[in-house]
Amino acid sequence: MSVPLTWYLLVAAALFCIGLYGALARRNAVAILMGIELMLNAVNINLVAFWRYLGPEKATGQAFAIFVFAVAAAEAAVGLALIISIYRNRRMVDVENVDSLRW
Amino acid sequence: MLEKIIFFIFSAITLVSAWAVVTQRNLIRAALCLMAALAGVAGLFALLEAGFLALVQIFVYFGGIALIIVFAAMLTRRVMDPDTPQKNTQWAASVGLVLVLFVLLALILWPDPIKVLPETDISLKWLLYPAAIVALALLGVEARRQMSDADSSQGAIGRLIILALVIVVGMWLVWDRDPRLQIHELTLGDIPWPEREADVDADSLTTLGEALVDSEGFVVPFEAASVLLLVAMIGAAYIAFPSRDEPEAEPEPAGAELAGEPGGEESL
Repeated sequence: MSVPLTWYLLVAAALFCIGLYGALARRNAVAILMGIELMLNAVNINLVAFWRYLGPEKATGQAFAIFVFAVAAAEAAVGLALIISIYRNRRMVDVENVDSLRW
Repeated sequence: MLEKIIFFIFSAITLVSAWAVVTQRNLIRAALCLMAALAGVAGLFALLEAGFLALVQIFVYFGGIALIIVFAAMLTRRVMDPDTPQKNTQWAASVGLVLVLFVLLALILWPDPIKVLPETDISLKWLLYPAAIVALALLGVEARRQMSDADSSQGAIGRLIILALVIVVGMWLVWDRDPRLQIHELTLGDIPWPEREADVDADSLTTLGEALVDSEGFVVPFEAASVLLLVAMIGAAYIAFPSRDEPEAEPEPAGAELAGEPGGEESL
């Protein structure tokens, strides 16, 4: 018997939670980006698993997974450009000290 | 059976590497673990018979995103001492929130009550008790520390209160439905999780490609995604390049960092 859908969803939930922890609890901005990438990957596992189990004859799930890829690439590029810019100006990438806009 | 074994192998690779990504102090190692996690996800895609997406995962994530993350980690690694703690002040609250979120998700996803021991009422759902207690205890420790902190702002306390509220409301959502904790009534009712249906068409890639440029399909999001990528590329280049108006704040020539060799920074 094949792998139940629930298992894929559980793995994706665990991956999402690990990524969320990384995004919330790390100090280094690059590490926060890594956590966000893990979360996006968890979403992709869900999309592909639902595509495979619910509608393999349609293209919807795979198409949305491809859009998630595109958004992830854009997010990584802009985020890393911001980090490089912050590093160039302030010589650090610790997000706890980047609080100029905080009131 | 073989499929399950392969599934477990790829899941283990993914989850263990992901855990290393968020806990590893050395950022370069964390980036390499991220690559391993992405490879595990690609394996899961292949297991789901989405071969095209598995390849895209390898090319785009592995070869693109993970690589520029490694670049960024190397460019900035001298400013983060690997011996200092890499966790920020709200990590305890984060652990609590994530624990409760995961247990809630797992309970919602599980198809039917899982008996730890047969013929008893003890189900895996009771995991929610210890998870919530641990979460609330961590929140309490965090709140106490922030209150004793001299320069703690009200915002931090407010955040903690919001987190505690999220946890309590989540518990109530699960708890108050049914004293027997029939949690799947909350989400799925009597609908069983679908079994895997017929095989994937051999030309599913053709279907995908046609749907992406079909006016009945996804052509508008497809074009929007391409515009998004273009905008992100221009914006990233604009942000990352040093501005010409300001005098250079650093002694080394502009672009030296982008070349991957940040020389003369040992004192930092």
